[in-house]
Amino acid sequence: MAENKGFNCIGKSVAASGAWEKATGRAQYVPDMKLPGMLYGKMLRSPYAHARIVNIDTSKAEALEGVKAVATIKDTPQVNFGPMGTNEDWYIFAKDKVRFIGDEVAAVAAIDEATAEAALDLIEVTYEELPAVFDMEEAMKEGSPVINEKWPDNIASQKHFGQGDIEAGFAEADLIVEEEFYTNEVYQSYMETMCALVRPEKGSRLTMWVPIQIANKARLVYAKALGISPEDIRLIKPFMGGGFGAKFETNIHLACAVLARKTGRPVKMINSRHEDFAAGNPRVPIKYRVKMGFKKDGTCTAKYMHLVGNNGCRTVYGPAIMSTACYRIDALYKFPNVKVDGYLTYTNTVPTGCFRGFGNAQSIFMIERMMDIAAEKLGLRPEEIRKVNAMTPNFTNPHGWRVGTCGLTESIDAVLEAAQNRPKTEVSPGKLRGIGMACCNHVSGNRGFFPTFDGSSSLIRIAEDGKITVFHGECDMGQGQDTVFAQIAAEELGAKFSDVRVAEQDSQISPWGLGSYATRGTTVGGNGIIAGCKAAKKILFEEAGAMLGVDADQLDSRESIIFWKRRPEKSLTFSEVGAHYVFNHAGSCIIGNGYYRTGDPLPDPKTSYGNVSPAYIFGCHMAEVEIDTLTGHVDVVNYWAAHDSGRPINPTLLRGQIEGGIGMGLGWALWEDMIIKDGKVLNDGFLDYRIPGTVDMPRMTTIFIETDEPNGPFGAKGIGEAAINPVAPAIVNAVCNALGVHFNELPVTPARILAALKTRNKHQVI
Amino acid sequence: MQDPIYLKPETLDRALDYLTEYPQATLWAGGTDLIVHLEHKKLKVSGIIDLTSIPELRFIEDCGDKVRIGALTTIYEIQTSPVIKKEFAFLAQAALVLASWQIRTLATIGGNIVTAAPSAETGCPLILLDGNIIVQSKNGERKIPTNQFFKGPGKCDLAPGEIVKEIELEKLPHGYQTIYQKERLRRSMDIALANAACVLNLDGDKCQEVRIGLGAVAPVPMRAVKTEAVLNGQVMSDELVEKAAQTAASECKPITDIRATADYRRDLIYALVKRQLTALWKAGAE
Repeated sequence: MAENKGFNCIGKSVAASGAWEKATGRAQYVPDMKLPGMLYGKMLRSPYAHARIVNIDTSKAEALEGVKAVATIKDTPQVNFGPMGTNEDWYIFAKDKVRFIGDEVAAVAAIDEATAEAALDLIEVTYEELPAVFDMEEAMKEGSPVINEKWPDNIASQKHFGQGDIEAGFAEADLIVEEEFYTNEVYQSYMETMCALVRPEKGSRLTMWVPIQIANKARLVYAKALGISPEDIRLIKPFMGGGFGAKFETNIHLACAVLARKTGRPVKMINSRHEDFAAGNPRVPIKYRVKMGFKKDGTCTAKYMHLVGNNGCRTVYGPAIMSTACYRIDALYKFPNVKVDGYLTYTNTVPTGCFRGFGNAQSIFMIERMMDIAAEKLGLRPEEIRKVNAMTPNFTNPHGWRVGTCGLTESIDAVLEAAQNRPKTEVSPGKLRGIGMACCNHVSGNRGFFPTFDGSSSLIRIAEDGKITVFHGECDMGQGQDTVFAQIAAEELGAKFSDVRVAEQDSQISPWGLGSYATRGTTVGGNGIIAGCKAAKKILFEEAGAMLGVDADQLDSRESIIFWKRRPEKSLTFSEVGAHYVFNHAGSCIIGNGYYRTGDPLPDPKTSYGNVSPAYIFGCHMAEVEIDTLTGHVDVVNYWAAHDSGRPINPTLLRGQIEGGIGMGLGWALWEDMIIKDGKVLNDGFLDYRIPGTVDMPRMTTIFIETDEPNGPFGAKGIGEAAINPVAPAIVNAVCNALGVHFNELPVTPARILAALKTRNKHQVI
Repeated sequence: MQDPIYLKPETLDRALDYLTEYPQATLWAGGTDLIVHLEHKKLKVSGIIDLTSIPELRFIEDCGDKVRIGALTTIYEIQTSPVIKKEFAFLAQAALVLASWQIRTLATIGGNIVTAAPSAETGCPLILLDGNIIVQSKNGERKIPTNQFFKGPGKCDLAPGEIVKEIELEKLPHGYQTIYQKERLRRSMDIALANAACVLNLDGDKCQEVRIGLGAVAPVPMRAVKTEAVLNGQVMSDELVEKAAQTAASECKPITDIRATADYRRDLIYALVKRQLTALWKAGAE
């Protein structure tokens, strides 16, 4: 346990910022907003997976009363752009051809939604169908239809690298295990679908209200797509109804901007849930072929992976996700010799992107199943094989990743102990019980995502009444980032928590933050907050020192009171100093502008060698399941989750993240699956795409393994993605344990379980 | 854009007048399916006649040997009615697991049967009970036996100009037990992959009379007549239950769709029938 350093605000479960606004219904999300003269936009999407556009006739739609504009590719600069510099394969609207069912063909702005909808039916598009390819491996075969001319082999990206001596590693193994795995395509199921509100300003300027995790980076991409300068876009991120990785760049934002410019009026566009399923950013599905070598004691001697991921028809972040899937697990266990061949292919399906866990969640499912399979063959217990390979503190892995704090072994021990102490209940007749475990790791602030820079900054303003406003450029999407930043700021400044407010993110004033991804907010963003606070505190203390006649370095602060360390009764409040400063500097507030940089050179793009994150997070989960032998239905009855996320800043929010991750992973393990046939998502709604409800949730126990991470703010690390990473394998391992059958594909549905039970019953009676 | 006509009569007579005037109008009995169909663009309406403000259609009445249920009685009212719980426990059970609490307070039994989903919760219990669906038109009243009302997915025996008025059900004789269960992918609100209902009268361990209804495994909620024949007049035993469950699995006619395969639906029918018969048999033996 990290020692308690006498913190004021760190480690306290203060109420989440925005909770009052949400509970009272005052929080304004984009769908709630309405501007004078606002129009409503709707998108015409392609019904074909792959087709040439022969002609688009918009005249009838334009003639409909109430329609103010119809936009197509002709209304855009027609430049290629995209979220990743390596694969700029986007247009705002389909140019010459459509590449997936749901592709953006045209958009309508009208006085109301019904009119806009009606106008869509009046747009006449002549298509000429092209042969399409849907399977990620099929796409790589010679003669497959070409989806993007610049990538004639349909390979969007590939990675081939290794460390150590793979052949020597296999040669010294006592056991070789070879298996295949598949992680399926799933949807993030956030409450607020993708949407935008755009107001045209003077000249080519725009104000955009969009729920987005990476406001500043998106501004660069959008500026390029629209042929304007990034500063011409004022981007405001209001309250946001979740993201889980999906809310990165998306064409609906740009289509809305095009309509706003064309009509000269504010335009709002909101995806229906069906559109969001058909054209969102679902998880990259991956097929694995894996070969691993083990010593008798479970030590892994070599690991070879061949993987293929489905990028969909254009690139969101697939290449980075595939690359992550290739090697991030090499910081979970100490693999001495590793080699990987990774491919990402274009298919005529919905573009895939980030989903909590990036590519690591997929590979953790694979490796944690693999560990159980190997343990069974070696006659080891699941925890034994994991502990013998587990990452330990202060270790540099074969890719040059410098792991600092690491509570992996402690996490394994903690869930084991908790699970052993569970109340033992009778198994109901006709049911089978099983228990399974899975470990996880993640980065906390992956570097090189935006190669131009790395780090975070903040502006801290102390006003004349002593109240503090934190300006940052990261992203609160509902996970509680603003709350954690306010706690960090209050702690660093020695301010009262209630005096700290966090400003709405607005590119007109907020710093250039990279945003919410790679579980980076708390670690990297938190350090940025500290840097800004230090700068503000310096000015504050210098002013207070001058007022008190004491050197600034002799001062300290607590609860918004600055005092002389030698004689604490000699003190001033933040408001006294703030007012003095403001009125003696002609109205200038105290503003601290500080930044944090991670320092190391970025990993080598070819060999992937180099420290990829300032801190690394770990955890271990265990699940107990009960299976109905007549229906195959799985109830997860008990669940334990231990995480090393450094020192918890807000235990309630931390627990909330973990429990949310369990729910999300449970759905993935058991039911969630985008059923895509010939490129069409068949279950494009929550009737047939089921996520867990309250009744499906297990009894959950969360355990914090509190390390003190030197690279994290006040010893803290992140949690977001680590919370989902081990859930699917822990539950599937428990199902396999109950049945004595191996499942290597997600999801493990009741029908698949029942089929396995029937095969098993031929040999033995339950 | 022309908005659909919206009419909200307060008497059944007035509703029938409106229906004569606007024969293309859609009847609104809670809207919990209708709204979804409109949202999914599976349906276009030129007009809506909202029946939810007609008090004479919303009642549950115990008439001695019969129970009358107004067509606009909500599912929540069915679920909580002491009369229904006493006389037709399985109908109350079915109501309890229909969609969510919010939906149950809006959805009505008339709406549920007219929607005629093969998986409808109230379908299986109703076809096992003796009684009638009573429909009203300008020309008068028509009585349709409950087991003849459903005609196919989304289809029922309701002619243009007719409105379902009430459901009259004969009480079950003393000693008859009932049960309703459904199988779904998740435990929280979910549509049935398969459902089943059972009415059983035992004399000791002897099956005097059994009625079995199966849902979501045929175009309409179906009576498992072959399964009933296996059981009627026989002495209950594990072997008999097993045989009945297998018969039910083979006599149902499920389809494969995105929710489940036909084979898995048969497996679920086997599980449901086996559990229901066992539960009622063991309860009856006590």
